[in-house]
Amino acid sequence: MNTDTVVGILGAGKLGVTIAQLALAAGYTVYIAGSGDPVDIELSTKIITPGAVAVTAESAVKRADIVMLALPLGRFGDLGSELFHGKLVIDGMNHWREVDGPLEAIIADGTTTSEAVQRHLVGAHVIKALNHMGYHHLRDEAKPAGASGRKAIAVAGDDEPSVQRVNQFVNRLGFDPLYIGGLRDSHVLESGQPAFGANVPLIQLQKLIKK
Amino acid sequence: VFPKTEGGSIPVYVGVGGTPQSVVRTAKYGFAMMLAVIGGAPDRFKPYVDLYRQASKEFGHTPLPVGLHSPGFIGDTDQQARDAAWPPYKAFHTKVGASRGWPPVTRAQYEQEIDHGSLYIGSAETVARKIASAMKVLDVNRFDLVYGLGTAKATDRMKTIELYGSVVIPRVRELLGVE
Repeated sequence: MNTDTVVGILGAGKLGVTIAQLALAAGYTVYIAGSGDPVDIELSTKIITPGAVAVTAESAVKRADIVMLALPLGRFGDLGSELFHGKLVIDGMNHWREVDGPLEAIIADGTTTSEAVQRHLVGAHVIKALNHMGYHHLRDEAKPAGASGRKAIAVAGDDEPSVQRVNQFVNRLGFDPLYIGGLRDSHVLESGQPAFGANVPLIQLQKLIKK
Repeated sequence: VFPKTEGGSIPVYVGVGGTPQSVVRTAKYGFAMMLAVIGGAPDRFKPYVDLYRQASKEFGHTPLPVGLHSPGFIGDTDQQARDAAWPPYKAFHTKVGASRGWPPVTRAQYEQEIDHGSLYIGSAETVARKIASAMKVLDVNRFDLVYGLGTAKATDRMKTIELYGSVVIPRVRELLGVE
């Protein structure tokens, strides 16, 4: 039985705020942390994501059943890995050259970005999900389970129980989860791949993944 | 600024996307705010308008106008506009998308964005209604039509400008009940 009730979001930008809105609507308790002092995002949290609580990153991770990484990819190395021990972590980050600089500078050759995150967060269960759909589509497309035309979100990860928990999280947020393999396989969800940006139902997402 | 203006001040808007702290920063420094929206339903930006007005008060400023800035194309009929705007939209999207890792846009996505998102494409009446509806929902004071879609033909651009000024703007004012 899945008892995840608390979501801790690292990153109070476009993606972080959108996930906060969806998680609140789905009944989760939400803590959100920006890169600075929680006071800086108190007002925006109150108005944009009413019900969420602005805290430090450390506090968000400690309180969370599910940690959502929604910060710029280039910053994951700043996260203190010991905090994440035993935590379920969803990696929703993507490489944006304008923000993060060249990919080669942050990720070793031949590694997926989520594998790199997992290597850094030793002891955490990192699952890649909620990265391929644009944040405005996430906000507009969430639908209850079974609704016609419901869109799908790909999930990749190596730890089966964690994948199940993320599947349920994705489902409660308003999307059909589609398991696509381990972190090794998650390159198909990265920028430049056919499924990147996908805002489609499950069958079509499966086709894009196979391309 | 050169050439020199006759005098007075020039209203300055700060453009913001979907990051809440950009909104707070704009309010903090006392500028008017322009919401740059290129995709998705405009109503999701309503909390950002509320945030701007609330933050302005907390920083001790009188909130200045808020505008909405989105791409569009105006033609003789809805179908004519959709067909004529598709090639430049596709070319623009493909060019930007290549640098961001998006796959090429499909016609279905384009139609969806016109019907439910932030592309103001169609006849003058259709575009006017969409603008008026977005301005009402967001409670904003100004609308910027980003015209041309990058590479639209000169004749099509001229038509958009002409219809925007002569038909769309008066119609939006009428729909909103403002002078």
